[in-house]
Amino acid sequence: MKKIILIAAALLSLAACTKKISPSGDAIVGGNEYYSSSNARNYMMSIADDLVTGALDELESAFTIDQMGANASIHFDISKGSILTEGVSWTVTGRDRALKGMSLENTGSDTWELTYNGYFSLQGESYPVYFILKAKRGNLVKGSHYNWAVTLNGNRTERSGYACSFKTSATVLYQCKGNNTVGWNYMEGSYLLTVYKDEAPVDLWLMEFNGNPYDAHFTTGL
Amino acid sequence: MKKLLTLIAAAAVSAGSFLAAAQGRNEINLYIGGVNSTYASLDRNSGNAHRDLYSIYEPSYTITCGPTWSLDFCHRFNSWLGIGFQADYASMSGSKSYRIGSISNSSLNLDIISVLPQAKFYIPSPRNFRMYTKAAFGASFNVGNAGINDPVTYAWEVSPFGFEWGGQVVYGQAELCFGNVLVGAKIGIGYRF
Repeated sequence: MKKIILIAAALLSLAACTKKISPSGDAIVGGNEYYSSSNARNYMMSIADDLVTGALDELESAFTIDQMGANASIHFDISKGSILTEGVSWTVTGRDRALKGMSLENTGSDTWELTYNGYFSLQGESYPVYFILKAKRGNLVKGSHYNWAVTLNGNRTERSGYACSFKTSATVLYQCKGNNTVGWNYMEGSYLLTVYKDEAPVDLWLMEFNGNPYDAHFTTGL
Repeated sequence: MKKLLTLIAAAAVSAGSFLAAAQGRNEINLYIGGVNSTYASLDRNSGNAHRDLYSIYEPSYTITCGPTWSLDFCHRFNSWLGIGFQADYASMSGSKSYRIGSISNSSLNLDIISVLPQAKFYIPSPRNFRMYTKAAFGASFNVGNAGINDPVTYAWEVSPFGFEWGGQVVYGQAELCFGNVLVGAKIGIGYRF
């Protein structure tokens, strides 16, 4: 028995020597503190890109289909008439569409109300998303792309109790320039996002765009 | 690492020579294996930071892990069954950082010590290539701040295939294993007395 204990002790001390057990806790290393907002900015832009740009792309493709005079489409339920007619509503039905189920309703005066209440897939997760996007069509810029004046109001529920609501504080101009499709890159106006954790607001982000994608102003704080 | 392996080999050989006189029903074995299963299962939150709020607000971890050391003792009751225990040790260290707000990096460490009673089943096999299987169930003690909330968790490990080679007293061994202590393989040396 003595022999067993001796061998065990020798081997255990050998193993223990291979790694120093650090007594350090959760202390700050180096004291290099700074405030970072780049992830918040990128998050806001990805919401705008996924939802606003995605929705406007669907609307623009609806115009193309409408122009072709097609009475059936694998992408839309268009049985109610032309999307250019006031009161007519189309629904995105394409299986592969990220915003499948979104309705596009012509509310008159070259204005459409896009409503989505469903899920949005991101990195293998599927998040409940709801938004209403009011879009007034501007001038045709290139090909089938227009400039848009939009207001956005919606929310997204994410994993681990996180959620956000987003809205534009006033009408925001989405500009289409050069060969680009409609995008946040040339947005003009303010865009507000509130972050929630377990239903309580924890952060507020505001981005103000002036048409220059590299010159957006970001403010944070509740 | 080379130095370490040399040290282990030297320790084992000395121990073996010292006690090489007898051969019996007791075994003591020392293994070195891959990374601990806890290391593989830790949520590092290291993906794209801006795609969802969890990635932004929850800390991300950079963690490295040393090999898992395992020491076991077994008493052989008959031609096919041995009962004993194994003790495992793994150590991790790294840093934790936040991606928004006042950024600070924190150091972190985690030491996991597992103790598992085990059963070893000997499979009839050639004298110089002795096969066995093992199953063990016990507890892990987690000491540190690397995101493991429970100080004690259950631990299990199954080795569906293991074999010994070499002498009857001092021998080498290798086994495949899975469980929440170690997934993969480990190699070691043993002494029978």
